Amino acid sequence: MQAYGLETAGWVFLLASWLGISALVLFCVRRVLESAETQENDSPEDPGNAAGS
Amino acid sequence: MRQINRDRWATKSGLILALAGNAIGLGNFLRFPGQAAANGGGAFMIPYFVSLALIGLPLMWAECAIGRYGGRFGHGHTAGMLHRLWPHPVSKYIGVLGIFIPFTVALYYIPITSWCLAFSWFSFTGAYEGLTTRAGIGEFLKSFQGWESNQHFSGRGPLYLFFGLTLALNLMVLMGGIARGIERFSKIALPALFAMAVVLVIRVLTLQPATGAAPDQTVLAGLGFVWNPDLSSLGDWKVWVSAAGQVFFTISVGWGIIHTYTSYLGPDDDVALTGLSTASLNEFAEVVLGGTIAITASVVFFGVVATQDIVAGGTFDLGFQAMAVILQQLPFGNLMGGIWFLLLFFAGLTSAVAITQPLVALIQEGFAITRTRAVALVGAAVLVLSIPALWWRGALDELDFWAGTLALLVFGLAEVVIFAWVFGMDRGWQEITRGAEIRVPGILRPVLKYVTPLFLAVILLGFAIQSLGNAQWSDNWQVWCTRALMLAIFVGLACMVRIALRSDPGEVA
Repeated sequence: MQAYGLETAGWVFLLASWLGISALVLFCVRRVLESAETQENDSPEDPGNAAGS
Repeated sequence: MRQINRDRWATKSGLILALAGNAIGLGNFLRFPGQAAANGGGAFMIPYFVSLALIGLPLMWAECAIGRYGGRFGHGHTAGMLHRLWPHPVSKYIGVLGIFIPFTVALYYIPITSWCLAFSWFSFTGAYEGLTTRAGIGEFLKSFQGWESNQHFSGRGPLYLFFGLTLALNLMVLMGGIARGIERFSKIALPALFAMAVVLVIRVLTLQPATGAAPDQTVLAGLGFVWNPDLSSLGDWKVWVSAAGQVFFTISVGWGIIHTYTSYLGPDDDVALTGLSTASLNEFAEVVLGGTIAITASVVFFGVVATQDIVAGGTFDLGFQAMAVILQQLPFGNLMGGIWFLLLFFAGLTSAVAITQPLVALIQEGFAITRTRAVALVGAAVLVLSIPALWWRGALDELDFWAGTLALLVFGLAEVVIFAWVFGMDRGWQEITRGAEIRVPGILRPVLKYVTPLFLAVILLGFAIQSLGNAQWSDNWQVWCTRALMLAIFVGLACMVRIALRSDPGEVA
């Protein structure tokens, strides 16, 4: 690219990519934490023997 | 049927971090920004995300499902898994690729990872301080690698020392097993990697142009270099092939590693959320962090035109030479350089651990020997067989071309055909959705059956055309010896698989 600076369209692509990926990461983190919580509640005496079960 | 006990992941987050550690490698920080800049800037993200949806995620989910399915039968390697999906003599030899690829790549990947550790040490201790040109750092690197003897190094002692240290760390993690070794290590290494990357992103985004710098030497010009879109590039099929290739390589499908890691799941554990989380962490490391650090810093210090040259020179020019020059010119430059190379070392080591595990699994499970012995055997093999990558000129490129690129594409295509067409999409869909903690879109079924194999075939064809166009007859005996070595490794692994799969390991208890 020859442009010296970040054009408006460049900002759009950058922000859309960053925000989209960050939102996906946050969604996954929330679901994994919920899953871990459920697992803990389901088997309080058998801590973490199998991932996700 | 005989019941067997296998190691298991202790937590879902541990598995996700281990899988992300495998996927996040040097390419996230060095290859992606160069690919984006050279293929339409921000517009590159359109074919990139389309490829992620059509190849990356479907293959990720398919591999997770294959791994968990194979794990039910005690298989931690793709030879056994594919044989379960397709009980035909050929399938297990196709599956050998999933052991051959990671092991062969380990022969040069572990040495490269050790160079990152060495350069981190050199930066912290100021060993290359004062070398303010890329050529100067290039000379330093070459003498460290033993290709030149000069005032910096007169022998290969430091090279072997850092290689030995990296290999020893790798083996220590593997000897700990799945939950106590790989999982514990990943839970430390991945957060540390992200923390270091965030520190560097903040530092790069707050860089000020030097006095008298050209108008293009700014942070915004650096971001513009990567992100300003050239929408006309979307009509170029090479841009689409590059995007698909980048997604395929960054997400680490087609290696046999995702299969191995997910084989240590229970039969009803989720794979859908696990696969999506792994992919999203990898994308965050690549697009948000990797897309910001190296190229932006390079533009601020060298300008747009020089950065184009650096990018064209490849990832080593950018990662080892340009970044070493740039970072030492900052306040606390040695510290910043040390963090940069430590970041690359952590990215490399988490992947290095992953690529040695499939062979450990084959030896441990197929020949009923302890993990410690299996790890020791693999360590000895890496130690001996890495010598060509360290000594022979051209060996590293040969290993990377045949095992690290071509075989990956072939294996990725073969496994998706076996999974979607031979095993069947009905059973395949059941495997992907069983225990799923998110809803997997139904559109994935036709995508995995038709679009993913077609897309992969196009990438493979494009790659073959490009490679044949550049192919030249080699007179270098070291290149031919490297090819013979790869063939010997494949044949040796095929023999091991043949012996290992003679007896049915039974179903996991």
